[in-house]
Amino acid sequence: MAAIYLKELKGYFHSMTGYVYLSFFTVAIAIYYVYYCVINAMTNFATYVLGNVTIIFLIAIPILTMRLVSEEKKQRTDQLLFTAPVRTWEIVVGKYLAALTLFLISLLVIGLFPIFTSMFGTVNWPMTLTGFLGTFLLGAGLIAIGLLISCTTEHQMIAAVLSFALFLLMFMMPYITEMFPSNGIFTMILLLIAAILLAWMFYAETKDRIITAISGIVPIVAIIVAYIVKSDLFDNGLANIISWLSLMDRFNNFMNGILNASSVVYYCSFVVVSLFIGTQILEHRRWK
Amino acid sequence: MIQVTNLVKQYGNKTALQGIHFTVEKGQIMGLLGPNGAGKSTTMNIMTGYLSATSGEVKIGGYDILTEPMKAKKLIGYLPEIPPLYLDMKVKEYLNFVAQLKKVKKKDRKTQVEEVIRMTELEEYENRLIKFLSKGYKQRVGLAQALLGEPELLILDEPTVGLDPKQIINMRKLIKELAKTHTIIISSHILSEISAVCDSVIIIDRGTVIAQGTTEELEAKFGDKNALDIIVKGEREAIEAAVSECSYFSAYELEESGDEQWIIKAEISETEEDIRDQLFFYFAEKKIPILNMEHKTKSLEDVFLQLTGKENEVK
Repeated sequence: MAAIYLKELKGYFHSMTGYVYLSFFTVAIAIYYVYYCVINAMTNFATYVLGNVTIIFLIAIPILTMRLVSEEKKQRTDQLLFTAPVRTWEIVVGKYLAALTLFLISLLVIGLFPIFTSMFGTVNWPMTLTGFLGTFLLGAGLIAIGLLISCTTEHQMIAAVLSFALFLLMFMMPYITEMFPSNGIFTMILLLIAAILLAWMFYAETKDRIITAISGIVPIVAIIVAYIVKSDLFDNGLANIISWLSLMDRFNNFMNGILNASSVVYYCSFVVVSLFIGTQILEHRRWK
Repeated sequence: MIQVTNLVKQYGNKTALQGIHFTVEKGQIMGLLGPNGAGKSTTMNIMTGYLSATSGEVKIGGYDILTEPMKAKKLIGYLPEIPPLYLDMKVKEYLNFVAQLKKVKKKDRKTQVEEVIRMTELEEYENRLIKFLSKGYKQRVGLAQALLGEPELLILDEPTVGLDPKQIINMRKLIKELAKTHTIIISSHILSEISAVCDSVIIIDRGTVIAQGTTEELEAKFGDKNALDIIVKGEREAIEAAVSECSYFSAYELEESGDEQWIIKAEISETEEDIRDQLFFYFAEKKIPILNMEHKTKSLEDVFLQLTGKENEVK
């Protein structure tokens, strides 16, 4: 794992990627900083500057993650990694930590901005630090998704575009869900469709009718029974599901200075699940 | 050292391997031979744990590659068809990374990297970026990489492909040198390659093993000891008369090769002894000079073409 971590970290600086990411991220943050904290003399770095970081992440995170795994596949160097005495999860985690380290470095750089501000005014440090923690957690979650997407393709541009599109969708989700009806029956139908799609995916992978039938029928029955017994559970369901899955809701709390332990756990488990899925995708490739 | 049992690999509906089966003893150099697309690389990729077989089993030094991959992979040094190189790295830096990846102990890392650089004669290039190296040197870096971690088994997928003749000779020399201390499997679609370095050969075609044995065994098994090509000079009638009277031949063909020269392609009746001296005197008596006479033993090349060609005709 250490070997892969160090190789990736060095790799960022062998190619342009590391420099492109660092300069893009710090310059973008600096623009917000100059506008809000210098020209308009705000000291609330978390809400005004870090609060806008999501837009920057849309581009910055894909730069960080796009080539992590896809490039290995393209150059056929994955043959070296997967035939070395290393476990697949070590490869994924090593790469993740490398991206996370570079991200942390960029946070340390922009950490200078509130320090500058503190020379000329009063900075609310607890709130600012909570903001930084939230930014770190959101970034960590998005990097995990970016890495996961990089595991699925051998073209880094496709990985970048897919990550960008997915992040955009995540950020827009709250607005999109408003357009759909919020009644229970609509949610139930959506869940049913999801269950059928999942069962179909199982079938495509395993070609096993029994597993498919079980994985299809059990959730469908469960959903219908739950709807008959307690239909108000489904009211406004779509918005609830989306906001639970969306990394954004909890992020905004951090920016307003609310430190919530459950959110920290939420982001961490999000990362673990993403990396787990990424590992499974790579393992699965061997069976194709 | 290696046991491969009934390896089957399916890609969707396409069957790439249909029951590959062989063993390699410790210290052997085994050649995996087959035309392009026969399943050589797939077999090697499964043996090294890069791919998984649909069914069947691979054991390296007694460890199953699927259930005990860590122990099995430690025994293997693998050079894939395309050497897995990071083009942005310098040679030495790359080898250091691989040594670390293969869990070579920190104190041994430096000496081992220097050792493989020496063996593959890369000293002059150790601080060059890999992307600026020529094909031959990239191949050497790939081999150096496979040697790290002191594996007992080397799996080399077409190690000389794309090299110039001098590099090929050097590579062969190096492989022979390595064979003293390693068990080696080499794949190739070129026969001279295999017969130059290997003790034993497995010929595969369309995902099945169609022949296996030592090079001599294969030549003996598929060769045709009782065929003789004789070039003689003289009039057609005289030669035909002489040949048809000759009791040594069970069948023959006569072919003109110009300038009153004739090739007699003869099959000799079953006999263990060499009848060439007797033939010499027989034709001398008939006043027909023999210009050339040779036993037609089939080379590995012919065996290979015969075996893989036959399949093609059937399908």
